[in-house]
Amino acid sequence: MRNDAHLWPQPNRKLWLGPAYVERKREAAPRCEPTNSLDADVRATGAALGELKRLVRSLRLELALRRHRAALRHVGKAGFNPDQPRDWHGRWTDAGGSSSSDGRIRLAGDIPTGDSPELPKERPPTSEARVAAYKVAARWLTRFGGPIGKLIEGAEWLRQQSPLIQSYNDPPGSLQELQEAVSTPAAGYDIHHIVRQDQEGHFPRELIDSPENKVRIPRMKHWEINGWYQRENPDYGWQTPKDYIDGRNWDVQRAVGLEALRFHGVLK
Amino acid sequence: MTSSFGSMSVPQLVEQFTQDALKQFTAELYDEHTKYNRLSRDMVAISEELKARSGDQRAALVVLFAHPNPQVRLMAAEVTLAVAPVAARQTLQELWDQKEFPQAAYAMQTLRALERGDRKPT
Repeated sequence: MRNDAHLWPQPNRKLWLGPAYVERKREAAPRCEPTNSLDADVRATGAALGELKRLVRSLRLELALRRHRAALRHVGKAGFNPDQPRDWHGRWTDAGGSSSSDGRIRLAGDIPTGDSPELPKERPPTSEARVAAYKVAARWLTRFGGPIGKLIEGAEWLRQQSPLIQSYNDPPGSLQELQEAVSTPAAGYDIHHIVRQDQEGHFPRELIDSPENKVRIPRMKHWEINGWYQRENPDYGWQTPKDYIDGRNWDVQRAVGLEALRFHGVLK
Repeated sequence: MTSSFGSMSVPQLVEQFTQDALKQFTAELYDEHTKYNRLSRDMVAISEELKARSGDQRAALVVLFAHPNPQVRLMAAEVTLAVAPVAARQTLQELWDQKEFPQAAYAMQTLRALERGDRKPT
């Protein structure tokens, strides 16, 4: 539960606390200043250094064993196989074809180098695998830049998804820009409701569909924000943001919606 | 899994935490929200177990600030803000600066919550 939860009206209350009131309360609240934080860091880092060295040795050994196994298998890569070990941004980390016990991507935690991710050459048969490939491609482009053509070289099936991947890398815009763009739909973009559409039971449909509540955003950012609402979050006391906003007033839901846009790099 | 944490050593708990975060990374790629949330609860339980050990052993997770996987770094920083506040914040800031989405979004949210005093690490 947030420490300022008492500031927000409960679903069964008629009271509204405006953002200005909440902001005043926030300003008046004592700040949490860590004491001796640098000392604590130094101690913690020192204590952990030995453990880090041990882990690095262990990782190096594991990597060498993986390479050894891969060399023995001589299995060529043919398309997207989610059972293959992959690093943090989706590059294959060995050439093996063995299945993990749960049949999903396994992550080897290799060191990222900025080399292009090895994307599936054939169109994956499931939408989940295709979406995972879109995410890997778009996020790599966000981090390392470069022409999309080079990124998807050899994975021609991804070419038709170029707008989806490229729009993910749009710079953040102002609220006015995002609202005005609603009138010009484009490939790779979705219309997003700042206060969620599933709150229709709490607010009139006209309000949810009002121009002030709609923005055009990159489709994959839309997916990410929808996912964010459904994941338990330490800043909401390990509730999901969706559970947190449910039943709260319009201003609170809009404030959370705008913050979600900012955190995901969509709104300035 | 949660019930067995009490019998695990600190290095085993760190390893379990790492594996859970890597599974979370994959769960996010595949939009498996239920699995993602279950893993979050496991990782919170691990950090609570480390906190309860003599001398608060959550500092053992600081090694993960150097892990190549952004989800591992994010979750390690989230649960060590009380014991390594400067380094944990730095880790979160780097996730944002390096545009490692979607983890960057969670990192910036936490940094803002800390700035405003909405989040008080314990």
